Amino acid sequence: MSSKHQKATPPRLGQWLLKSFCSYDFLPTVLWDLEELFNANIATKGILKARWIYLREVLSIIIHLSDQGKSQYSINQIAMLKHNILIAIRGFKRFKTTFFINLFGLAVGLSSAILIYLWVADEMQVDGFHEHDSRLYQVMRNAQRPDGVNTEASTPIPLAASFREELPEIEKAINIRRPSEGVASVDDTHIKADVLLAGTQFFELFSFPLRQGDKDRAFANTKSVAISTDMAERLFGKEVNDVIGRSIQLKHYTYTGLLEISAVFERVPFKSTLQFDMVLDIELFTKKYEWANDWNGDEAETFVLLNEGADKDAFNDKIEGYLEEKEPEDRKGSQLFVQRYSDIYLYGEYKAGRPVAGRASYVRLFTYVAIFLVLIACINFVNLSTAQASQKMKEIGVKKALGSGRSALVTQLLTETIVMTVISVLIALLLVALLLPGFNELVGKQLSLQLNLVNGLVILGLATVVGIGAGSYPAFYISGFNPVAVLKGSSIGFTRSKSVSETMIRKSLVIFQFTISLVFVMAFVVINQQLTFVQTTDIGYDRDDLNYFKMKPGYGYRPKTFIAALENIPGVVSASNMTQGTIVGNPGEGGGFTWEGQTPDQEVSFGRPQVGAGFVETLGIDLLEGRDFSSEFGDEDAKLIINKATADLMGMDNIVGTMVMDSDKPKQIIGVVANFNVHSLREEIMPTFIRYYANGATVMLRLTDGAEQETIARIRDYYEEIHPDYPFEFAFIDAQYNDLYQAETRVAKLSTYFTTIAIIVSCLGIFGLASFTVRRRRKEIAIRKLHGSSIRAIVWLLSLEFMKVIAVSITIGVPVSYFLLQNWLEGFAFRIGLSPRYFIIAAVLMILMAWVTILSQTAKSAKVNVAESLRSE
Amino acid sequence: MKKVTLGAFEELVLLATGVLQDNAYGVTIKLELEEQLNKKISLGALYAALQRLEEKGWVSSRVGGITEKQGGRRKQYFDITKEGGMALNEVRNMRNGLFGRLPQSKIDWLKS
Repeated sequence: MSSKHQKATPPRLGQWLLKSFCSYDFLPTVLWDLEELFNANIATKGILKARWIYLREVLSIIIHLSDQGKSQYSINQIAMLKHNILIAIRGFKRFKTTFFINLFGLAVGLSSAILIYLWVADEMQVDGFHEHDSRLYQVMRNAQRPDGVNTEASTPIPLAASFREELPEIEKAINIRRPSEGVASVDDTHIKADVLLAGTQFFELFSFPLRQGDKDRAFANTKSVAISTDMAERLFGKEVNDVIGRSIQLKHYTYTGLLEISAVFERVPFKSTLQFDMVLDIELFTKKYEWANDWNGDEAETFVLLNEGADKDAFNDKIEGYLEEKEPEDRKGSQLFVQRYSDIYLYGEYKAGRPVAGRASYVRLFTYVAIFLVLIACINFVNLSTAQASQKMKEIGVKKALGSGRSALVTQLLTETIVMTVISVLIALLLVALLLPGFNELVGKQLSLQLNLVNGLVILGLATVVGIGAGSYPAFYISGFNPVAVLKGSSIGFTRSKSVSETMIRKSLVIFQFTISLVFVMAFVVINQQLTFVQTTDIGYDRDDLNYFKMKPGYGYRPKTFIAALENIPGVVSASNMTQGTIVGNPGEGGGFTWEGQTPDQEVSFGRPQVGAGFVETLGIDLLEGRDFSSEFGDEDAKLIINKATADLMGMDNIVGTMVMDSDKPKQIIGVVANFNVHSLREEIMPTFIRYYANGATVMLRLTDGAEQETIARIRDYYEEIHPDYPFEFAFIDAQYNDLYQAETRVAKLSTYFTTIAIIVSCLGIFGLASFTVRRRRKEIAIRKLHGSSIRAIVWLLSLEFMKVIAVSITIGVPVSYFLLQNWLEGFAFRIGLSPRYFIIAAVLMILMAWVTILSQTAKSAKVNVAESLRSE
Repeated sequence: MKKVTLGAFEELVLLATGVLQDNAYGVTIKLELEEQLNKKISLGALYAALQRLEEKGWVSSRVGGITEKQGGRRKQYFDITKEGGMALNEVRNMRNGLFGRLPQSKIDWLKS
């Protein structure tokens, strides 16, 4: 070992660790041995391994030494650490109430924060798992409308091919049509399948790993199909391993017939917004509907993979006018831009043609909620620690007198916080593990607390921030006592002004806590009121007792006779059908309607549902003028029903009978109905032309009250006569309607929990403060009683101090929450007003909660035995 | 007085210290034990054992090869003391005694 390795020095970190933990006595020995080992290891195992072993040995030495008590090898730092921890634990035992308030607050705050972190992290990862994520973009289209720019995802089908040919920045480009339902069959097994239509390079752009088959041969010919492992198992059974080359029968609007399986992909992960069971070549669609190939239509969505190093902004500048160049007439003012695919999930809403936060606003909201909950808990800690500082004064005074430096005292007090934080984190993790299943159900996700590096670092970071955030002010504050004053017996180790500013700080922290709690309560009240409003408001049709199920077109379903037969079933009030789902969220808006006397150049987006006979009656929409569609007339195809909004837009008298051009077909208006909401109440009511279409597959029907079960059983029997192979899925329109507000319902439910937590933790805080104040003013109370003060007067006196603080919180909290909630409500076209009632409810609730919390303490104090309080001196 | 006992690992360390004679220090003891036991031993565990042995008075230490300044490196040798040797002997005798009382049938069974 005599030859010195010039470059190969042992790791600095290890040496530094040793120097800070080893006594001077022992350090040289350790260093010698470690270095000798290190040099030997370099020769045999290489420098990296040797450094690693060195660090490991250092750790083992430190761990073993810390066990050693006051041996010659032990050193001051460790002894102090042990001492500090011991003092901390003694402190906890001595002030049990404070300890539990702090522990509970921190643990609950931290577990909320961890849960929210898991959710936020999951939201951020949605769609981010694709290998080429950084280069994978979706082409978005801005359409000029009279009411502003409208951003849409749909694009013309020729766009992908034309991009590939003309733009060098593009590596790959494909079209996709979002999944729609079909039925796949092998022999006698029929299952429902969500069928995605995509360009042939689908599996090269998106990383959905294939279990069988090749990426580039997945669509060898147009009759090839890729299916999920799950489908393969359900169609062929679990034991069949190789299904490539097998054929399946498909019934889907684009294609009905045999297909050959060319690839099997792994189950689509939950973190994908595209969820599908089969992928078909989109050419099947474009061949069947040739009109779809037109530059005029927007029949697909386009995804592109940019070349490595391609600049997105430059590319956006380049394609902005692309559509207008191709179709100068119809695409005036139309603009294209690309948006990163993985960003769309969070930033999928658009204002003036630019992406703005959609779901991201909820992510942000909950991040703030997490921060505030932790803050509230930290404030409890700060307040209770500083309030109880007087109990620590003697100890600090003696230590200072014996020569302890301020830094040593700060370390001691911080150790106390750190021990507390560590215990809280452990409890919080336990709580998270317990709550996670329920939380998952609430947010509709599959979150799990994996102990990986990132999660570990985040939790560690959280604990550090909390430990230092909560601990540093009390530590510096308490360690700043003047030892002479303290030991002389002065009850406050500060001059008066300092003590006043200290109470001010404590009070403003409580004000902050309660302001936040008030905002939480307000949000809770208003969000729930708005949801109730949304669920109970008259949306133009009658959702109660309205049900629906879907038929399979083809397969022996003859709509007219079917619906007539349904209406003959006792218990069915009326029935009707429509296309593309039910009335709730019925898609398909657009222009294409012209009439005489129309304001020129006014391009309006119309709702245009296609419905069967008896639609207005079945849904219970108010018929203002004219009549409903009916199967008694022969030429209903050439008729239209409009809603009030359209009638207002057209602005004519005697509107029934007017002729309107639906694209190139003249149609006559036969009725006017009241406005009704199709989309969520976030959106305004659209002017609507209701068109007639006899063959819609969604059947909606209204049942009479009572005996629904028998009626449904009869309908089922009838359904099974026609579709013996397919399950009967009967559902309520009401449930579907409520699904429109899933995000809001979730926020409302979560707000219930988080509001409760905020209130409980804040109240615990003032509970602690109240019990402390009461103890401190024990003598004063006794003297007041001695002079004849009533219990009520004393309770009032003590409560007033806190009530003042709450009053200030309310004064601050009301405008803040008004501003925030008004902002939120503006997202709804139909909304409740922010009536003062809500603010009063919230304020009264706060006052009541706070008052009840401190009541037990103040009442107890007022009842104390005067003699006992005054005797103890 | 508390009965002073010799733990299993301490016994091995003590033996190794004796075997290595005047070249017994951290690294050599570690390597010797690793070779005999065929497993990794951390320096931390070794120092802890040596320190306990030193407290019991069964090893003594001396210093060799001091480098110039404090905080430099230093070889610390360990020697087995007479008491240490006696402790080893005692343990060995106790063990031999116990082993001798094993019935012949068990010994045969072990050999087969």
